[in-house]
Amino acid sequence: MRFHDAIVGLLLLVGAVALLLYARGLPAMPGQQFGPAVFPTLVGAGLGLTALVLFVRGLAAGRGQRLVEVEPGLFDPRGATAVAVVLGGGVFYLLTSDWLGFLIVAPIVLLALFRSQRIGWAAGIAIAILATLLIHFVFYKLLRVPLPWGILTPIAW
Amino acid sequence: MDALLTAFGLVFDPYVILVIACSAAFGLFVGAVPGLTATMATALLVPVTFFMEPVPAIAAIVTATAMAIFSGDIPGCLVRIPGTPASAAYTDESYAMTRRGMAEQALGAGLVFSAMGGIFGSIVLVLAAPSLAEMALKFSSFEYFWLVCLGLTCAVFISTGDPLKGLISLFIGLTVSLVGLDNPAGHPRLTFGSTELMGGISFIPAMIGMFAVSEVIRWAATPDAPAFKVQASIGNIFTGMGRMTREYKKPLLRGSIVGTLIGALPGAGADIAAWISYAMSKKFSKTPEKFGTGHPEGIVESGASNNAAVSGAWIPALVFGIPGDSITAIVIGVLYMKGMNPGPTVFMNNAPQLYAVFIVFFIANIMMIPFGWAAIKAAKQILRVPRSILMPIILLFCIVGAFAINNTVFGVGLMLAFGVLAYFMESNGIPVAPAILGIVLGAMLEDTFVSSMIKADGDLLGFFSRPISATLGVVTLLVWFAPLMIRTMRRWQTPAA
Repeated sequence: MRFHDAIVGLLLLVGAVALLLYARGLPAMPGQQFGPAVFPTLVGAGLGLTALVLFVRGLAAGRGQRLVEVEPGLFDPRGATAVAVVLGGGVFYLLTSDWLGFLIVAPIVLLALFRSQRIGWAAGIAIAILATLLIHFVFYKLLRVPLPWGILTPIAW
Repeated sequence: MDALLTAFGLVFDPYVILVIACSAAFGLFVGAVPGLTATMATALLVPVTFFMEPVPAIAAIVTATAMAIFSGDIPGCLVRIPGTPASAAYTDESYAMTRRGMAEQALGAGLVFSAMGGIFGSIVLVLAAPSLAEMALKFSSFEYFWLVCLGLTCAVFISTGDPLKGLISLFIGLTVSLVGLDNPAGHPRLTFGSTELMGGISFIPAMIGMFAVSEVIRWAATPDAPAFKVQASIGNIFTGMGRMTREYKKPLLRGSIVGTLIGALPGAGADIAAWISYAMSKKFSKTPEKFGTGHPEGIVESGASNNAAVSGAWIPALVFGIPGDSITAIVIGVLYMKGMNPGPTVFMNNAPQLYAVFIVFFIANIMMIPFGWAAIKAAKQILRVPRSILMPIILLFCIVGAFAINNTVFGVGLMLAFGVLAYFMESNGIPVAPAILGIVLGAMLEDTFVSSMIKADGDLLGFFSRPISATLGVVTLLVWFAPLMIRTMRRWQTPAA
């Protein structure tokens, strides 16, 4: 998704101003000239300056440019769904993995992703389960990462 | 000498050899699949190496990246889609060779000269790094401040077509580096009351997000990508390599030297090395008219160059802790986690481990020949693996990897956020590499700046009071202002002409 340079510049400028205001609120170090605010102020000023140049340049040069250009793939219901499933799958894992456990959440996320790519149910389910078990084996058994068991804790191996 | 013997012991351990072999296969696979880059291979490897001893961990990354940069040539040659950006410079050339029925020569040249370039870069690394480190021992915060500035400047000006957007990317990275307690004052900044953010943005989840998740998002946004069909048949790839080595001695050497140098420049890596070497090869060739028609000369030079760059990038990373490219930016994070803090002292405190890493560079580049041969033989099968199955599994791998660093889902959240950020940055022409360098070097920049200011009592001239720091400072300022000066001079000259 490509935004007009002026919009990108403006958004970053707002961020830079917020950072500068935040830096002003940082306390001074007693008896010390250079406190925690010095560097954030410099970074904020740099970001603000470059964002301003981008904004002005965007206004001057990008007159014909559209405000937002969206990849054709995102207008395609398939592409839009796929992106939504990628991000949604991540968020779903984030919210539920502690509670439901890796072995339940991971195949659901994988299957959703496979289905968004029009992979058949049977193949999708089979690969989702196999891949989950493989990753679980590598990370849980070999690397000893405590992947959450969630509601499956009673049968944890 | 003892250190060297210990180093051999560290490398020739069955476990380490197994790790090297596995990461070689992994690197070859990732490099050969278009859309998966060498940097992504590194980002995906890091969570796994997190649980290893320092030597196998670093060995895994060294091997995988060297292999991935070579195997990026394979799909470029066979289906005209580079496997990694580092092969893009000569994809058309090698595909033209394939169409003329010379696929085996193109692949053979890619393989043999990649290995040679890699070995050349490794020799330079082994010779240059310790002596540079000796010099770096005398450096104070002033010199380090300028070195970091110079590194970040290179990242902005070399790696990007639009320096303004490069600068913006750098400032985004520096802003990220502000988060947390890790600043000279020890004051929590931008944590918004979150205890998770006190320790700063965890580097690994951010990396995985920026290099892997952003690719998965981009893949999802482009449905109906064509499947790869390999038509060419591949004969003996080693036929004619001896003749080519004799014929193209000079391009080979030039590509290796240029590649190592560009790799060692912060911010510019294998992809830029390949572009520059291909252009140089054409410029200095006796037969420039043959370029683009399926002529191996450019492939020899730029193929050697991109692999030399992989080794060259480690020089500033090990000696100064300043990454030469985005791969070594990740490596620096790994070195810190492993207690091998990069910098000149690593050559004294961790000499055996360091020598072991050097040995691995040679092993990886020598192993590239048989492993690469196997990968070329398996190319048709590798290219047949559907991305609709591969990418979801990569996403799950990323999630688990981001989780594994601190064993909290907070890392998963960070990873997703940085994936979305990198996706938007790249779609808007803002390169990601300067931001990565900003994140990695932000703390060092602030640290050296603040302690130098305190030492100089707020006097900016203090930054020029020592000979090396003054030189570095002048060079940095020159790079900053050279474009401006050149433009002004041109403006002066135009009316006169």
